[in-house]
Amino acid sequence: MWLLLLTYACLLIFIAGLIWRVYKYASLPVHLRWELYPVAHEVGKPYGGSYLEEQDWWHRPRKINLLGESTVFLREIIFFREYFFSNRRFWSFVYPFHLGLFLLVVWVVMLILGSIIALNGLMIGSISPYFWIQLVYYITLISGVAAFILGVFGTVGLLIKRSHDEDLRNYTAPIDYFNLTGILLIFLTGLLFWIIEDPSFDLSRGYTKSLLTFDSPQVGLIMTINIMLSCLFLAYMPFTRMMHYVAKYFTYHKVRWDDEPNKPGAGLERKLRAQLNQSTDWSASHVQTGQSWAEQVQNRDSGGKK
Amino acid sequence: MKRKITLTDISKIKGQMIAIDKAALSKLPPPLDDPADEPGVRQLTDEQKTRFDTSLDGVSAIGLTKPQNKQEEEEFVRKFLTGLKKLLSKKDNWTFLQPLMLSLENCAKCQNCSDACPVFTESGGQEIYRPTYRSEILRRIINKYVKKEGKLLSKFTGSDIELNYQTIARLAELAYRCTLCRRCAQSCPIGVDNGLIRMNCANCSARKWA
Repeated sequence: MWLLLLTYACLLIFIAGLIWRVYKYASLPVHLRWELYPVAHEVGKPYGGSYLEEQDWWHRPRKINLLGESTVFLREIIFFREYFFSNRRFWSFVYPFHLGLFLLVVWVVMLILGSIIALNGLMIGSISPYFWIQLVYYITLISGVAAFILGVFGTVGLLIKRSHDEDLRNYTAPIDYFNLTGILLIFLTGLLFWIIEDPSFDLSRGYTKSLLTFDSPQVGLIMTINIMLSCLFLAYMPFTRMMHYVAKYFTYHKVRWDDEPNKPGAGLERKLRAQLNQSTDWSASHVQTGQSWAEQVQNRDSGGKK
Repeated sequence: MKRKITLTDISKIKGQMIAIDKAALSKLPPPLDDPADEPGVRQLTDEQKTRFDTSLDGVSAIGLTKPQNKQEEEEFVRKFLTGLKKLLSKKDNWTFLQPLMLSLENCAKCQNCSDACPVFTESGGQEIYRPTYRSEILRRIINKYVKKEGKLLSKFTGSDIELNYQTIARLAELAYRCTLCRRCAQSCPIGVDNGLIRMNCANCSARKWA
């Protein structure tokens, strides 16, 4: 029972931490334009350029290619394209590592789905009379095993690369080794409990079912260690830079590709106006302490400092 | 074999950190392909060297003058820290706070940006010109002196940079060894922008903080 409570507690901490992370970045003030071209949602400009360069752009409706933007973003997330083309050796470890993590999420989702099926009195397994249940069974099996194998390979590779490649080693702190070792232990104990205790993931499905029904779960020793490690790591993750997947949404959509026009009366203008009314606490050759940002600009436009 | 410059060297090395080696620079295309024709970097006079801080690479881009006594040095460090705190505040740096925080908190230190940086590659791979070098130093200074991680946590997170006049002077100079071309940002899979960190680094030393 304590394992179920630990799982719920860590899951709650993770969700709270995730919300805190998202809120932290989302609530930061609107920033000045800092987009980097090509912007993926620009129509017909794959090599750069902007609608802002077109004559009288403000008279025409703005065209946004959401499909193009999603394609570029998903291609990067699913295949790690940037690493593939610029650093193939690093990609050969970093990609399996992340693919292992993605598949781990798929595995957990499949376990939840399998538990719901079992709760409805249907049997999960390769001999189920229903094709879709067989599909859930096999996806669970394949995603779980693939996640553990790829994860172990990728994490060991990254640990070796980080400790042996001088360019990486000089920038790697003890916390980075700690994080990688933690993830390695999760993948490794997962692989071991699959081999030794739970080859068809029936016990794992049973544990997931217990999470939904609060029945006493039946778990093996290695599986218990794996669940404990996974839960503790999940609770620790939001407070580390391992949450860079949250940041990636903001760096791409709110910085790199944010070419929102500043039109009169629109939301962006209102946000900017609020910022421009703040006073500055610093000075430079072009900025006076105590004046608002708007005043600084007006003074410059009127030809001198007041 | 010559020891590679490390992050903590920025506060530890006495004298000039590196010298720009003409032979290590990338070869120019014809008709400028003969290294003998290259003028190299003009050396400062001894008198100039006593006046300006050239301890990074023998060049002074911002004309920083050295503090004359311990008091001046402490005041210099205090002002830098005040500026650094304001750089991270919503009121004083709203213009770029969101991208700055995203870049400071999420770098995976994979060095994918290094090969995209023309200053780093054309210098023959001088460690101090690596896009992550100055960013990582600023990040570690912030962790240790602004976020005030304890001694133990600082060691664990690697935030073990000693903050003194020399560190700041070199970091400020280093901010001007970047052309802000943002090729590093373009090549970063996470979207971390070392160019932006460099720009804020320069702001920190150029602004007068009240």
